[in-house]
Amino acid sequence: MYYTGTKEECEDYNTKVTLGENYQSSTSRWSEVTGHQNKKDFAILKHESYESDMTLIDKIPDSWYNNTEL
Amino acid sequence: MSLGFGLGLQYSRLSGSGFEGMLNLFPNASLGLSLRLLDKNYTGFCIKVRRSSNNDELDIGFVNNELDTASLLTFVGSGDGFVSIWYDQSGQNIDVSQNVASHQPIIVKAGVLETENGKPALNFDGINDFLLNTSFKLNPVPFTLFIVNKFNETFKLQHLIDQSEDSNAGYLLRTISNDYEYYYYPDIVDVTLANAYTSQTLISQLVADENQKFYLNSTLSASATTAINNNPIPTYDFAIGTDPDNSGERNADTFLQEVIIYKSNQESNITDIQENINNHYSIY
Repeated sequence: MYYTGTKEECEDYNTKVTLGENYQSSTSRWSEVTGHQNKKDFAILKHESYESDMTLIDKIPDSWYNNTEL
Repeated sequence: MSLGFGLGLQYSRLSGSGFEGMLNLFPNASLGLSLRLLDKNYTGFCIKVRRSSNNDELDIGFVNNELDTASLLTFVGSGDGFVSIWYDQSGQNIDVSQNVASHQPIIVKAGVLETENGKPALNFDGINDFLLNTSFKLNPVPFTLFIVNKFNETFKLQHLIDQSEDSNAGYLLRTISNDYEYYYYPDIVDVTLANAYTSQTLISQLVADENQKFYLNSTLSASATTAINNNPIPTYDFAIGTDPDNSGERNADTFLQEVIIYKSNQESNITDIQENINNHYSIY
């Protein structure tokens, strides 16, 4: 499951999970913010223990990615 | 941390007398990643693992020349264990790592060791997981690589090894539409090698100037004599399990047990190396 929202919303969610989980040693953060190729929409993987008001989707559609290399 | 360090050293020194690892028999590898001990003289750890219960991490070494699964399972407990570092045993310090929690492959799921054909395996989820090294450069040719893995599917586009930079430089090996395919930019583009397997497989590939060979298990599946006149060095990271150009939708859905790379032509040793690997994993 992924949350979709603005880049700032996704980054804030990533920070919330990262701080809450208190990662140590070689792990530094929860996830990465994924950007739609339209550069307007963003998504981040949902952590099972952290909720958000952002929109929840099952998976990131293929249309988000640049598939020029085939 | 100190506990793990002590255990790892102790276990490494206890490895059996008379043991000759694959890298003792076939030395000078540039990358040696495995869940078995590859070199009797290697005194480091095998993997660093993060446990889901509290995100603590611990280095896990070897016992009897194999991953110390007892310490691993004790550390992880009833939760999940994720690999944050897979340590290089070649002596070149080319560890591959993942500092993003959700991108780390799993090795213990709900307290149970991930295995393939009875041996421990890293499980890459095909969605988020991959490992990187920022300094290792596969180029230039020749190089010879050996991989033990099991794809869970082969139709999707999934990059197993990739250091390609757009279409300008570098190498990649992937599956697409149930085939293995590779590139060595800019001289070798979009070469279909063989039908891809969904069973545990030993992949061996030699990429050299006017001499390219691709083996599945012990069978030569494809060969070519393409001239490689250009060896531009990619600036991208060396990736296992993803496409650094297009991360996200090209991640490998695979169990992975071993990746060994020689930056040299090992054609004369390929059969013997394959035999050594198969003697351990009983793949074919």
